[in-house]
Amino acid sequence: MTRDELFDSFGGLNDELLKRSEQRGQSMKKRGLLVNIVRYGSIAACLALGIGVGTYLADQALQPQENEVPDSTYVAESSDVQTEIQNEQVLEKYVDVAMLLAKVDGNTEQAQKFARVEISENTAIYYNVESVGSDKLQESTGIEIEGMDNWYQISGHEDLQYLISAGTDGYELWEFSSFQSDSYCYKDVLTEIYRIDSSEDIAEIVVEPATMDNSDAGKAIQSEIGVTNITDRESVEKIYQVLSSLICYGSDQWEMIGLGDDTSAGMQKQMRAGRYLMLKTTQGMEITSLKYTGITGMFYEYGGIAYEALSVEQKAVVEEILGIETVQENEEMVSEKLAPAAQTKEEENVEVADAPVDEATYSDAREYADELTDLLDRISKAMQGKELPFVTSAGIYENPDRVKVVVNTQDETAISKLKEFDKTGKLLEIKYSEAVAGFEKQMIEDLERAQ
Amino acid sequence: MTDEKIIQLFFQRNEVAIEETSRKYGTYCFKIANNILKNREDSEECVNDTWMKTWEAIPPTYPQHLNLFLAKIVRNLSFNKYKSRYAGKRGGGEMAVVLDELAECIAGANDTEAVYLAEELQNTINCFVSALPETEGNVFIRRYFYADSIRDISKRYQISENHVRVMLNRTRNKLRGKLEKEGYIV
Repeated sequence: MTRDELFDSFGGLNDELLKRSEQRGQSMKKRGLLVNIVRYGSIAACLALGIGVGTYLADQALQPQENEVPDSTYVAESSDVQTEIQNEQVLEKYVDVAMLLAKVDGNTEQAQKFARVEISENTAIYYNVESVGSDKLQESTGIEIEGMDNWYQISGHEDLQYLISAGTDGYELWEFSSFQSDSYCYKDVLTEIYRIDSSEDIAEIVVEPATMDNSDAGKAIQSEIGVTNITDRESVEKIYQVLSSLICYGSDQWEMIGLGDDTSAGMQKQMRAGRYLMLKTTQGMEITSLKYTGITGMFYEYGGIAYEALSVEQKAVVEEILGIETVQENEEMVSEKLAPAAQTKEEENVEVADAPVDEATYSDAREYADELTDLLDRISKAMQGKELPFVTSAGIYENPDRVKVVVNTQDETAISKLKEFDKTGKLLEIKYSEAVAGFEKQMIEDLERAQ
Repeated sequence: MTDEKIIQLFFQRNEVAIEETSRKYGTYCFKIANNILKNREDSEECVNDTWMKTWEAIPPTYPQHLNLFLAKIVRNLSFNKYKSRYAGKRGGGEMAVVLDELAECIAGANDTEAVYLAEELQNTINCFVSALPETEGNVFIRRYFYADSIRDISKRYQISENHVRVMLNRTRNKLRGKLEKEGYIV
């Protein structure tokens, strides 16, 4: 055997091993401890020096501190294996993102810039945020994003909530918006972007009142609701479990979110049933984009990013934790809540197959609970086996009970193949999905113009 | 664009598939080629050949992981180019070091040629790497599949360069033991 042959043989490594090796980083928790030590050490140093707030603080915070390990400097090396294992983490300068964000004048209106960043197997949309100068950003760059030239994590960060890019306009700061997809699992966002792998990674959830009405009456409601800090592990775990089970439908889905009308009474109702959430991670990051409305039982975000509506049980759990008095539901609301895909979006979709549309059919369908599960199982397996590459999502939907499958083709052969899975001919609802909707389309156009 | 959509374009014989693959995985593939060849022109040529090979392979192949499918092709093409460029001579750059390290796994073996099938050797390597502790296995793969430099591996897994070297050395010794046991070297 030659060394060339041995090198060749590594070419047959299986995909799972290769995929595993493409992940970055060591144990997040071990590293988090070191990062925190450096971070708090850095903050203490700033306080001791009596540095003020604002831009000046930002400037100072970015200067190397005496006790701080400079960027990209590794822990002293030793040939002793035991010492190596103890020192296996790299102490990278931790940069507090708050120090990179510029104070934005509320009256300033600027065209929003978006960028696409390939992360693992997803395309993430980031939007440009106002920041300190290019030089400071350059000093704050961490590891380069794999496969993305000139895109960097923030120094000392495991998460990808904020990224720094280097381009002809200098260094710029970007914040994660959403994945570029009709639908995706929010768990992917939690793990890939925020590096939240379990509830253990969430230190605290701060619940604040919604602020859509800032009139005196509105402010009185805000004051009445107050701010709650959720730190008990059971509640954090429950919220994490709900969030990580949800499907996200991308941005500009206001009609799906269905907050209600903008009248004074309407907004006050929205405020009583709504809360703004901030997740504080054990890594020191603050995720402030998450909102909840009890009106439709749905989490949503800035930019109209909608989530799948919660089940009745989930809604009850979440609202108890968030301190929302359960909104009196009538039959119509329950129906809306249990139809997770936006009705408006569905209306825009082109139906390419006969869907069970009448109540009699739905009643029949309810008797097919086992068949529904079986049908979904078979379709899921076929999707995993790449037999149905045109299927983008499938799931059991209630009221009416059916398996709804979203496809991205109108090819009759493909649709027939899919229909063959439903032996009863009654349980399958096939929807054709437009590739991208309004806001996302706009973002892509912006991106293409920029390129 | 998602991998699934790109693969669909390949299946539809739509040449946009190549543009999208290049856009999404161009840098990724170039890095693998350049790790092996350390030559921009040659690496770019291998990456372009990778798109062509992919065009020929899909369909009928439906890759489970498009990036890994591309990685295997570009690695193979790049190493073939490396071998043809340095036929009978010691090559340069990181790749020469990588190969020298692998030579340690078979050094001192009897000159008698052990008979084996390439596929069996691949299986042995797969089993060997699968059985390694995760970090050790990952480091080994980065070095001998992707031909990553010690520095890159150190940065990727946030462990010191010295630790990477120690780990690789330890794993190579284990591999040598495995190859001896399985009769690949006598």
